[in-house]
Amino acid sequence: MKIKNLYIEEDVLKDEKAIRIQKKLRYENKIICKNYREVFNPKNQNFRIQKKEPSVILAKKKRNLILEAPKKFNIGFSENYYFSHMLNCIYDCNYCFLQGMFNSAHYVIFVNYDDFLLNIKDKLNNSSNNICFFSGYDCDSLALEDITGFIEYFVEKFVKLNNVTLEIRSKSTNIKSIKKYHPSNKIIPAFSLNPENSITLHEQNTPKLINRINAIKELQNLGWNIGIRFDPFIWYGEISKMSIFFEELFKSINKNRIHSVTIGNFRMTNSYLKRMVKINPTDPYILEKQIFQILPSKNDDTEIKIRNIKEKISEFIDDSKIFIN
Amino acid sequence: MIHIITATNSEAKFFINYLKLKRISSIKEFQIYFNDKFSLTVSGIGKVNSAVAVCSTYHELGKIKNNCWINIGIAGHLNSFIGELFIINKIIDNSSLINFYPYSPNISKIKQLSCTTYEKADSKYNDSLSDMELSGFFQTANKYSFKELIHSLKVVSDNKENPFNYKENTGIEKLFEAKKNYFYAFFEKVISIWSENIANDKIIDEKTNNLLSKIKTTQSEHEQIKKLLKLAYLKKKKIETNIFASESDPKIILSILKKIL
Repeated sequence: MKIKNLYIEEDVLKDEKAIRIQKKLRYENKIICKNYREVFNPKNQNFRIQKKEPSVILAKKKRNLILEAPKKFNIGFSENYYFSHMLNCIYDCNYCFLQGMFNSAHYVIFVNYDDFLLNIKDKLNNSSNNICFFSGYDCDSLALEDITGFIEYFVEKFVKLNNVTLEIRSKSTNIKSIKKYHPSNKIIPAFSLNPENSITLHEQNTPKLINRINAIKELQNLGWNIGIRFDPFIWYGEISKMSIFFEELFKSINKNRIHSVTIGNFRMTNSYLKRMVKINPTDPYILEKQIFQILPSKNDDTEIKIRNIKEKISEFIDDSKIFIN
Repeated sequence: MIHIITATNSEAKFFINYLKLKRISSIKEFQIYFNDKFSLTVSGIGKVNSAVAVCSTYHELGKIKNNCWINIGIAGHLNSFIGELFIINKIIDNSSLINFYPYSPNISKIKQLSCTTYEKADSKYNDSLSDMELSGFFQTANKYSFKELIHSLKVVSDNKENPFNYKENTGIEKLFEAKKNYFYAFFEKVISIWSENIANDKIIDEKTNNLLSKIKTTQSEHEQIKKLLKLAYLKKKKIETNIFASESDPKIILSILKKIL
């Protein structure tokens, strides 16, 4: 992979994983930093300019390795956490909250996977519940697998643990790393989907819908149960035609090998949205979303009520498997 | 616009001639030169001077956010040859030990290096370039512009074998002139980053501000109309601009805009 600059924390200069990752990257300059935050956190950076030519930062995550998932972030487990081996993503979805949350578009890769695992085990030791860990919250879990080796490290570790489930959420079709393993109920590969015209308009550089469906089918044929994620679900056109979209989708995949379906709308805090408008001043979609927030009298007609979507999906999938996020 | 900040006249001289800049005689605190695309300010030596020069330039030249800023100057280095040009990709403030990381666009044949900003001239020389302005320049420019629009170019003026000679600064102009083509390529790159990412927004801003100047509004109405106008331009909706001439009630204008959108 070709990147602009490689930033590397002093602490991981001799780290084996960091050295392995460096060998897979082609970069112009290697710049040593004390802490990834020096590069990643400063204010008044332009996420959009960086996104066109991102750099990689190799770092060690020292605090808050495992975080409690937001209350609504749920696929049927009573205890939910998320962790991020990476910050930011190679895709460029204009609705993505990461643009509002992070000051920088550079890819931070945390190389201390062993520390993440220790913290996961710690959570398991202190609970009697079956715990779900989400891995694709601040990044795409699969897209950079060839560089990060995330799946290669975590899948076999999770399979050996008890009372645990790992959701690997992605828009990527890079499934060869998952195919190496025997299907396990403890691992849920989950794919974010949208109609093809919404993908074209909103999800730059991501795989086409048909390719994502093919990846799902391939894993299902191998015995994997798959998560389907409509989060956010963006629909253009007549509501009546939405059923046809879901019908075609669920006809093309194995409904018996679906672990869960989640649905969500575009949702963003005011402060994130304000920042997204600042760095995306010429994107009408983002500006319109902000206008809907500051001018409540102007209704957002593009937001279809979640319960309508759920209703349509429940024609094909058992209600108990559908979750509103 | 690109704002160039140099510490001394001898560093500024080449650019004043090359870019055909004219001095703004009404400004006394700093020498500020300009044309339609560039300004150049001679800050004086030291990071405080450099910071104040950025601040003055911003206020004197229309308080325009997100313009490009470039600090250009000479620097010492352990063993790089005299006249070598570098793009700075890391700034180390030697007093506070705080580091900054400029965006540093890649230009072929210009190497990149870090630069350490000292309070006093550094005669020890090491593998980082040394100057006395850059950290002050960078922190201040970052108040007015995105980090990706703030850069620094340094030409090596002295090294361990050839320490700096304070009495001999006539050669500095020639060091810069020898790199004329690289400066040109760098300016082109910086302008292209600005044009691709900032220019369109400024054009729309100008259009909306022109229309808004024709009516009286409260602050909140101003913000709402501005956002709706901008959305209309981005969605390429046709706006009858004469409503701003014939209609002075912002509430009516707001409702017309909401209907259009």
